[in-house]
Amino acid sequence: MPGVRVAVNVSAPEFAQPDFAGNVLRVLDLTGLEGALLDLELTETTLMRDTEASTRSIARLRECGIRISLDDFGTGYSSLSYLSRLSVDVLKIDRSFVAELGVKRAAPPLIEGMISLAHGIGKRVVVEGVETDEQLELLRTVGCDEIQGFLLGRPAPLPKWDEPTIEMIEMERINRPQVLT
Amino acid sequence: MYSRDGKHVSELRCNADTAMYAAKCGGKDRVQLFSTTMRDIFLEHLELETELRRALDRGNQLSLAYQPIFKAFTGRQTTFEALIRWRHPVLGISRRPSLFRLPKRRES
Repeated sequence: MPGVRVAVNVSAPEFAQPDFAGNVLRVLDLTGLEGALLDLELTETTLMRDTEASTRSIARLRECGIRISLDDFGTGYSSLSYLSRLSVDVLKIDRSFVAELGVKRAAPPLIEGMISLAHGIGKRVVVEGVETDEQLELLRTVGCDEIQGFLLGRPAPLPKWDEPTIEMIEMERINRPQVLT
Repeated sequence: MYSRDGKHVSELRCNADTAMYAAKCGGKDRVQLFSTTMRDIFLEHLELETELRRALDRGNQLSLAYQPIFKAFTGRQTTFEALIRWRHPVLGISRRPSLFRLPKRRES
């Protein structure tokens, strides 16, 4: 059975450690975990501290299949040119942009623009903080790739997430009628 | 600044230190005057940091929770985000907002 990828938040001091990438790769070696099953979530501020070192470190991690996500996207101060040069795989749009989604029927232009910007520079988009069906449907219509939020699953200890539970959530979602057509 | 921020050398020096830390947190090249709010936040952080260290030593207050991430169209699960939960003996379970402001703040 192919495993499920696990995303881990990395703090700035951790990322700034000398040979952070090397340490991560050693842990993969030690545990036998495939790189593709690991996702490291970093914030814009973390990556902007030392852009040259960040770029090298990230390149090394991505070579081994590790997915790199830019967390809390939209809350920092990244310039667009920096963003396009940044070789992360995923932009995680901060939950603050989702809160108003679904209050009106149309998706706010801001989140739609962020998603098309991300796609334009070749990144996938994960949207955090999805709490209602309306939000889910609106995000689907604007091409959001992946979603996370209380609507689909709250954080829970691992034993709760056995395979039948996950299958069930999937089936329920797929069969749910579209709110917007 | 004497005498608003302290009547004695030790108090002035201590408050100046606090203002310096606050300035450093805000970024480079800053001027920062001391305020009592700043001191309160600083003390609160210090207390939380101590308690977090204690929690790390004891181990039983911290636990992992996993939140699933799904493909928007197929509903297929792609990822679990691993999140740490701190079950504080007095304040209860904390997620990100207030208590975890402390480790988060160190990032910036």
